[in-house]
Amino acid sequence: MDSKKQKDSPQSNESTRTSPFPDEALDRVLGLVKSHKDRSSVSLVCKDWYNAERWSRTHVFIGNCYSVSPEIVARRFPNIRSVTLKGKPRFSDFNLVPLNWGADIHHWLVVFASKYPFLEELRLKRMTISDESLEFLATTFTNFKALSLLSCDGFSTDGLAAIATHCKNLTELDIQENGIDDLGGGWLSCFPENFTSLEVLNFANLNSDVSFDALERLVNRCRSLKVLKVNKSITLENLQRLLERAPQLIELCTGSFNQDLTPRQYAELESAFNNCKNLNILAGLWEATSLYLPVLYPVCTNLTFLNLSYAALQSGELAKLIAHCSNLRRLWVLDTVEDKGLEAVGSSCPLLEELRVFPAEPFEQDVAPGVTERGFVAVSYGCPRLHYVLYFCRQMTNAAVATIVQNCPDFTHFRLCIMNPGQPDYLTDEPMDEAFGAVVKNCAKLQRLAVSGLLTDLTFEYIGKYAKNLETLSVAFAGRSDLGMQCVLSGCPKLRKLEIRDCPFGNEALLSGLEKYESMRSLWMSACNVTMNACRRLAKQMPRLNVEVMKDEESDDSQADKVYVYRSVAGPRRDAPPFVMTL
Amino acid sequence: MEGGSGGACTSWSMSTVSKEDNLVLSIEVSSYPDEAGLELGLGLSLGGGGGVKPQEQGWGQYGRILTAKDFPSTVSSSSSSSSSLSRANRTTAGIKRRADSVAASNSGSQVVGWPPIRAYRMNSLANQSKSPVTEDMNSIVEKNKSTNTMAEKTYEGSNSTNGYAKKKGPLNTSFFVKVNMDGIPIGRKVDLSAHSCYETLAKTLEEMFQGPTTNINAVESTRPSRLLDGSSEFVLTYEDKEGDWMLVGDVPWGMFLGSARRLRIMRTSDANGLAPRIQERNGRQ
Repeated sequence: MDSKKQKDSPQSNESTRTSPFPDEALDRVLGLVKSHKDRSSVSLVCKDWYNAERWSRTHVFIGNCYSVSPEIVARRFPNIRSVTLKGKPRFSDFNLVPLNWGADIHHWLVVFASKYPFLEELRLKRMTISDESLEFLATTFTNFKALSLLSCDGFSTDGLAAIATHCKNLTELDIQENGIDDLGGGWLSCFPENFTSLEVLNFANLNSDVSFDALERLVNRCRSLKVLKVNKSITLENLQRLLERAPQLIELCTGSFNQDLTPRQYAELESAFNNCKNLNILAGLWEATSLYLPVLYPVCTNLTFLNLSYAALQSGELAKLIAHCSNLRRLWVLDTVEDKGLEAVGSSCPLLEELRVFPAEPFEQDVAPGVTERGFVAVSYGCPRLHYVLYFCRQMTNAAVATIVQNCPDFTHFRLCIMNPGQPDYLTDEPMDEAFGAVVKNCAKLQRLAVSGLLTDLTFEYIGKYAKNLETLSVAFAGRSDLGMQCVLSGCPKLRKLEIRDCPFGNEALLSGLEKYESMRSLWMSACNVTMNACRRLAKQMPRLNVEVMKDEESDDSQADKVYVYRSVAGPRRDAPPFVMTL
Repeated sequence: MEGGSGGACTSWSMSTVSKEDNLVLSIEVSSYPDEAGLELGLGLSLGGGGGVKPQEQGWGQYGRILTAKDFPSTVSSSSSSSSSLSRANRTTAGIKRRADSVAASNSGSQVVGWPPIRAYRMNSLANQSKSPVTEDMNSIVEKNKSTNTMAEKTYEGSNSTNGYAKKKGPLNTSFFVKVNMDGIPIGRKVDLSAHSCYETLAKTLEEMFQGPTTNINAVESTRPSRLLDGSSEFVLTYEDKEGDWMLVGDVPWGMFLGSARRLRIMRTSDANGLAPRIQERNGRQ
């Protein structure tokens, strides 16, 4: 009580206040607070806590690299060891953002070099990073430990070579799904012979061959290796030898899972897997066939996450495999498994929490049927704990979705992609409004929603009315009028990210969110009905927002083809390329 | 050890599907130079016009691009006519990119960035799929390039060291087509499915017909194939499903795989119309 009074008193200042709450205690407690959301809350309590928090924070998460500058970050947080940065808008993953848009890490690294010389971890998503930057990183930060690049671009395997060569204390090298210029696998051989600290190695998405010899020796000497994700150049025979060297692995991505093995080799492989008692996560399995899947059976019971999204399994193959995976929490598959495969999932994996079904042939209509509403419904019956779904399909009905969310009311992430834009309920020919209405009505915890199919404004009325915990919404080819977007902006108090493409939302909708956007991370609107003038108005009235427009080559001057709006304390971008107009 | 060759795996945005426009018109202009007569089909042209010269001057070629009929309109029940130039929906100028929702039966409604799948994943599927990859996969691959210089990179280095067929899994789909070269009486055969981009295919053909290059190493393989960049005395062409001869390299790899029936390495002098393509490529970002 006293301390609070003293802190609140306007006369108190740091030199005269004697707080009965010792700083050491505060520091100790704060040291345990990891979540950046919690830390933000802590920092708002009072000046003392703000200071205690900023001095004790070691990891900073920046969801939009342009919302702040590295100088501002460094001023506030003097002791950062780990940085997570996200750059481009998410739709850049789908080629809606031109190359050279920005989000280059280099300036950040330069500032970090002087402010955080002891930086240990860097995790980037959708950023641009050059080989020079990677080399700079590797040679400047002597204590550097962990690098994770997801969906980044601008670099080649030469940059990886620099990391391998210079980072003596590296524990993690995680290279995922990047636009990397793959010049060859020689980088792997750059790890020095006395280098032993690696715990996480992921090069599954690189294409070129690496020296198996170098890899085997690396795995052999890194006794703390927990995560190993190799690429397709690694054969089953190779894999067996790697597993023999590293039976302690927790997470494995296999290479190519198809090779002619002799019975003896098969037995050795099976035995190698059998020895991996700690394996919880399995991925890869490129070109896997039913012939070799059985070697996995010994590890299946321990699996919590199985990623088969690069293995085009048929329903029977999946059914046999999944029957052994009773502890599975997360499953990613290709739609080659079809509804039957999903039915097997429903009966085999009662603890399933997350399901992602990717299309094997996203552009072909006449090939394999993929999955339909039946598969999804089957899973919902068998897996009541399901709370995360990403589902690509070619047909869906309102009734099916209603059933699904009745079976699984705990959805936090519901991402349904009916692949034909604007397709109605295929049985009733009605819009899919009721489907998403059911989702938001039944799933109070919903944080993330992606809608698809034929949708009128009613869907958005439902969302605005019921989705009170919604943070991220993705909309494409949907809606009828400005009302749709307005409902969402006015109705969803926790909305942080709104991304819209090809919808008939216009200026009124855009401007209705005037006061909302500062509480959001960002808004993306492309191929909608927004004009340049409306964007200028928005920019003028909200100076703390960056309003950026990219125009298409052939559109007329008044249309704002791609609009990206985000809050920022760093002011307008200074590195915007010519095709990005900041209003 | 061949990684991705530094040479281009097509970074040229197709005259067909450029970054932004995925919906315009179809224009097919082709001719079969060997024959006495020219076969011409002309659709509507949008910009970059399609003057077609008389046969002596060779031929130009425009790939097939998406037609308006790929995107029938939704909200109203009117169906868009395939020849409609101005699909301008009154609510949206610059409608060209916008795809209205489509009815069920719609092959290849290929809108930029839809379905929303990361380029990496589509790329991987392209390497594995049983059927020839469809157009968007590689166009997306190209768009996802980290830089946009002319010295291109292959996104898929899945081909083996000497550029020949790599071992394939159970989804083994060989796709051999005949290749003839002007001036050489004996033709050869090449397996198109063993390649994932034009660069490796062209290299393979060069080696096949002209003998292996003297130093096969990573550096050498970074130079773009002369067959593709127009600097050689020969140019690579293919005959498609409809019997028309096209320049290799103008359409996304997947589309090429799906439509190529045979190849011909033709004397450049017999094939005019190359220049615009290269300029176009240079002019793109």
